[in-house]
Amino acid sequence: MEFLNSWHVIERQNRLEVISHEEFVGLDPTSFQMFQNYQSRQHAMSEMRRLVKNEIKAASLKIQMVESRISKSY
Amino acid sequence: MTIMTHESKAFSGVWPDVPTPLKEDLSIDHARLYSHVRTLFVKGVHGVLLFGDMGEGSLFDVEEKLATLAVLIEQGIPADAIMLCATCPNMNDSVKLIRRALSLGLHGVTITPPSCEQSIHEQGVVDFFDLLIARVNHPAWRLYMALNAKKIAISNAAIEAVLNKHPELIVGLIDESANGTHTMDLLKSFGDKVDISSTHEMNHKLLKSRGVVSALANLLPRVIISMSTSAAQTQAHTVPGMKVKQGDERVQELITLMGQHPSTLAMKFILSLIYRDADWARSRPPLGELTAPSREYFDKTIKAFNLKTAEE
Repeated sequence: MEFLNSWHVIERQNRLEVISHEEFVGLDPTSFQMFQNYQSRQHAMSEMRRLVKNEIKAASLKIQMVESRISKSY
Repeated sequence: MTIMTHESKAFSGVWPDVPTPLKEDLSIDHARLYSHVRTLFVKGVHGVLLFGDMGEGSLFDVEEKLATLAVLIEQGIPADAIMLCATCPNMNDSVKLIRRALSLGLHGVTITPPSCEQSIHEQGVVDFFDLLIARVNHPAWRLYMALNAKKIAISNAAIEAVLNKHPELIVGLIDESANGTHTMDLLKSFGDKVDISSTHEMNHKLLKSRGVVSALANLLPRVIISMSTSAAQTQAHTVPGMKVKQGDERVQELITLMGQHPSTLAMKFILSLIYRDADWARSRPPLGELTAPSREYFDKTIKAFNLKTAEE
């Protein structure tokens, strides 16, 4: 399979990123988490957007839980 | 131990038995499957098995399987790097599926005769393969006998008879049992005629077969590739905060962790954690989804397992 023009969704230092395959092969595998490979940048970006939305949802839930705990304590 | 006096036409390298992701309406999610398969290829696998045990093959019909194959091939997955499990509840479906799949140029087909919940006579197994091969009526294709005594017990005498009658078509035996002794027996009995492989990861090292079908390669493709090549059997995988572990220790750890949970559901749930995509956890009834306590268990244990998706 040809991956030269493909794109990867990765997480590096707690940041989601879309990188080219060229950049990907130069990375130290211990320095990032790999999600998936996509043929087009557009698909990779769309996957990254989904992951970012997930993170936002999870963070909102945590904030709501903290808020409700605080309001109960008063 | 490797007994190989025949000229092998069988697959080589690591071929994950890929689970089938579903959309909300329980139809096959081609886009998710495609990106998972691409990702496995980036990580170095040599091919994929579709609609096998892990791919819930029995829950999809012929048209769904063919449509999925067509989409993957059209999007660029090499047809000769795809193997299809063509076990169906009846021979008509298997024949229809195999004929049309072969026209797409697949590497080959694995098959187990359908289970009848009754003991099957040796001649019945031979007749099944005779009739199937006659009805597919294709000049050159690769057929693998998938052996799973839990589904249907096939005696060595029956295997011998089928191999003798179809030496050109049947290129391999894939043992789905976890019992290493059984796999070694197959190797001793038939290793001079066809390639023998096992779907049980801990038996790969024992067999040293050219080709490996592995469900765990969906999660640890690089580890399984390392384990399956003799040079890499000493290769260690570093996991921060833990002692340096050998590949087979990581695999054994994962096998233990998945334990008695339904394997497909567990695999799909773990993939949903890795890809942070809850939709991956979905399966068709009667499989459904993992129970809440099991999900909680995997949430914790997979975090502790610390899967390094770029390394492993």
